[in-house]
Amino acid sequence: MNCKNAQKLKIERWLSGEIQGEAYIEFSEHLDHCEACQAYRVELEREKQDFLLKHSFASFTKNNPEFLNKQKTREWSWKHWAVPVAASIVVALFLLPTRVEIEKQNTPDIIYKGKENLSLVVRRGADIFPAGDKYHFQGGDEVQFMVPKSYLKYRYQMMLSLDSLGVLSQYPPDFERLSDIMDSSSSSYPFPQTMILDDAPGFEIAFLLFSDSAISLDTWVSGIMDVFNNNKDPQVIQEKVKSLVDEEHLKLLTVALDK
Amino acid sequence: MNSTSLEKAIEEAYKAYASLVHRRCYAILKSEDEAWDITQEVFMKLWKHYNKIQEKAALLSWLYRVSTNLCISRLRKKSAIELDPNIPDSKADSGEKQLVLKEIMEKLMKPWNEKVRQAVVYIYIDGYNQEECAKLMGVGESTLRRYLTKFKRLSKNLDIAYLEG
Repeated sequence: MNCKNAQKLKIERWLSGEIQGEAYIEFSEHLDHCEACQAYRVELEREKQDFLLKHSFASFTKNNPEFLNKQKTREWSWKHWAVPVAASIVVALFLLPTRVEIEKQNTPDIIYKGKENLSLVVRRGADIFPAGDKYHFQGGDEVQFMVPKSYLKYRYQMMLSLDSLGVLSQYPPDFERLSDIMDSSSSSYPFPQTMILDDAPGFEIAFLLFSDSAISLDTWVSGIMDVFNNNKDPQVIQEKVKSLVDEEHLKLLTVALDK
Repeated sequence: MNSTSLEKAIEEAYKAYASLVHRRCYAILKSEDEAWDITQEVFMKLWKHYNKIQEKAALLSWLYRVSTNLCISRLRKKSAIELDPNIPDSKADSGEKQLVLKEIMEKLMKPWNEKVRQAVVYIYIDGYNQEECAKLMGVGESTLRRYLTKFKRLSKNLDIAYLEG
């Protein structure tokens, strides 16, 4: 069989050794006969050879001395964080008023338990509906947080999210509300950004900021990343970020999702 | 995993994947030096997170995800995008395609949901098909289409149809 376009991802996996056993033999035979795939494979193999000649593993370790000092680093981080992290988790469990807790189950679903200041509206496919306690979410669900109406008094609002890899996302104002099911007498309003959940493992923390003066994105990005660089527990991260808030002028609601 | 085993695992991963990571970084950054910088950063992150990664037999998705995010962060820090048409590109893109890609990169530097950004890079910059992209991201194709729809909906002035055609 000759492919019209090379099976790029499969060839990349084949080349890096992610395809094994019978599948490897089968695809190797395909590569021998398919011109498009063969051309891409040759291109990648040539690049790999050139790359490793220019940037060997030795050059990588030489440029990154931290890598060679790993034993020391790991020992330091354990001693440094074990006690404060454990203590902060205990404190956070009792004190966080806006935390939404998610339990890990044997299914790929995400489960939200409990709500205080925030509730959620979800779009899954063509359906839009409110999510109650212990609702099972799935990757691909689009989530909109419902914020107490008392927060409407703040002129500026912003949402950021941080995942376990340290990837910080900023959400552009969307102003689309997922649902009109909330009547005017509702005590909450839809936050004007939505979040799409994925299936990646680890936590994802949403930070919803409200202020009566303009919010500096750079300040918050660097503030959150500074906290993340020194803390890896989602509850601790939330606590530390909350401690950055000047409550007179700015309010922060946080939600930790564990997948 | 003890430190020697971890070091060995990272070395093996580097030899197997580093050129692929570098390739995709270059596709986004169009700079050899910056692609090499980010490639190193990706493998330092792999080293730090290795024990937490469950799918070690399929590291490619993880590496691509991290490298995309780091590249976008790098672009965001630069005041202007520099897509030099004189830099040879393996895809031999036409000037018009370069222009559309440049516009996409400009859009991506704005604060997008990370998953939407990933999907756009895989489809329009890397040139994966939707099936491959969905596999890389660990989502269904319908979910992927929703990410792309969201990007298109909020990028109405962008001539994405040119790339799709």
